[in-house]
Amino acid sequence: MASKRTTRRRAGKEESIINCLPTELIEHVFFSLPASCLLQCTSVCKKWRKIIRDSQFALAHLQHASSCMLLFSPQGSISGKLYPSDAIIFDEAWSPSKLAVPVIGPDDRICGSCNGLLCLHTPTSTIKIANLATGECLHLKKPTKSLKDRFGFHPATKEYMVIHFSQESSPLTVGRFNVIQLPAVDLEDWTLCIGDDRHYWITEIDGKNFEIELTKMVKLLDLSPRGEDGMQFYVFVKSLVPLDVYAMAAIVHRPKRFGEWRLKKWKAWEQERVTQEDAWRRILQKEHEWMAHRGAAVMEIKETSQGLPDGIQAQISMEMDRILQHLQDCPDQHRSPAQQRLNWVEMMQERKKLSARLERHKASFQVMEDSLDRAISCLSQ
Amino acid sequence: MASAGSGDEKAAAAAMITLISSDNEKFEVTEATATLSQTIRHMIEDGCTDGGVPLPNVTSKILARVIEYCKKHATAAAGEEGSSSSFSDAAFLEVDRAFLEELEEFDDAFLEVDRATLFDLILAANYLDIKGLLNLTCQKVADSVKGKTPEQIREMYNIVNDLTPEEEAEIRRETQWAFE
Repeated sequence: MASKRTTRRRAGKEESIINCLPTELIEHVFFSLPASCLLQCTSVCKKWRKIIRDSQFALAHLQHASSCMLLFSPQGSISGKLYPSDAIIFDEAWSPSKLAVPVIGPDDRICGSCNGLLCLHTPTSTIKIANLATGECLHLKKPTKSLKDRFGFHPATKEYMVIHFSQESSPLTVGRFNVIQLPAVDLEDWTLCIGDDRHYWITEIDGKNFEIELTKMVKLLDLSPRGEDGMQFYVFVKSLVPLDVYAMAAIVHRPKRFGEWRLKKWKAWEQERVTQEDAWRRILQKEHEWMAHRGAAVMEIKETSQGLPDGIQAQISMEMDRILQHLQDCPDQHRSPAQQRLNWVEMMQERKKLSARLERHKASFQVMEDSLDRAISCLSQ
Repeated sequence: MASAGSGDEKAAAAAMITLISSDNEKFEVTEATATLSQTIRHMIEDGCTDGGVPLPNVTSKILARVIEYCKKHATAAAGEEGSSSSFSDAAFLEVDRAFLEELEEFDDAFLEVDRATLFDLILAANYLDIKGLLNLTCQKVADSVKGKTPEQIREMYNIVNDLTPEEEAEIRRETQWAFE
């Protein structure tokens, strides 16, 4: 609070150079900033907040925003284990976004995506429209009889629409709420290339507004244990499209509390995460012990072998050096991430790292055993 | 259009345009350079450039920089046109890339100015309607904001935090995802 007051006093004297620009030029500057950055900028001053949260600006900003990819996997059971629905946004660098998606409930399904909004089918009672970048969501009433829902916009009336189908290809009801328009996202543009059972890479064929460097295109995603069944891909734009302005036009429930969403979704996975962390901790502890004990033992053997004939001593010394070398190979630096949550891609990556580490230990154990055996046979000669 | 079809002499004369800054300094530039500005292009098309184009919103210091930018980009544009007819496709691409690289270097160097000049350039680019220059300068400002906290941004640009505590609380609620 104190620091804010000083800023106020200091800045009060002269007008800010950036805010002297006409609003249209400030907007021009903002166009090239990503949604997440702009959201932060809303707390700079009243003027910036007004500009950024304006729905016209959000629309204009969409046309400058670059597309990324949203990978959605619905709830599913793999070998008896139930995985919650989850979505991951891949940013321009093809890294799974930290901005994971707590707004998606454990059993939600995606009906469609446009303008950075997702339409989610929540089995319990509602259709949910969510902006993943801002975390806003609206709940619309779901008709009692609906086989599937589709989400889109109408370019002529400039309205968002949720279309409910009671049977294949015949719309039952059309619930619409007010609108903003953008070119429709055509999912046909995307292909999923399957490398082997569990590895995929994704490329785009006809990428509108979507550019990926070739070198990044062949990044493999290990999605195991989730199979390709039901995996959905969406072209996604992190947008600032506000939802509160539509609250009057739709049948809306208040969104559930943010905290509850997160808790409900990640509770099931908390156990697994804890187990994983635990495994890491145990491994690191063991490594530490190895370094201390074995290192000391090896040095001792080398010392006691001093009295032995030169040939044998040299050989033992060599074998012991080899063991020491392997002890030093065990890297001690695994960060134990204090992650608030894990999405399943990160979870799989962690698991892979863990088993790689174990494999390496097994291998170096083998080498050490062999060295030890050879040293012993030297002695017994 | 106005410059064409009314005799060689007039066409040659019309190829040079005089720009007059707010502090009455005169700059003589080629039409190709001047027409990077849509504002001036329209004036030329309307045939009202005789006796120079007064630009009361642009100082001589800024106008000199703007002309420097336009000259470079007009040459690059002309070079590209010329090369397309006289080279094979591969050679053309090569030349094209060299041009682009050179332009990029020029742009980077061009943006090495103090903040006041940068904002004056934005205003001038907007007034003269030079799209490339406007995008370039706005991008520079955007880059300076990127990755900064609101407090750092206020500090950097001398912005008064006029949000009430209630508004700040509301924004925190709205944007808690963005801060994670």
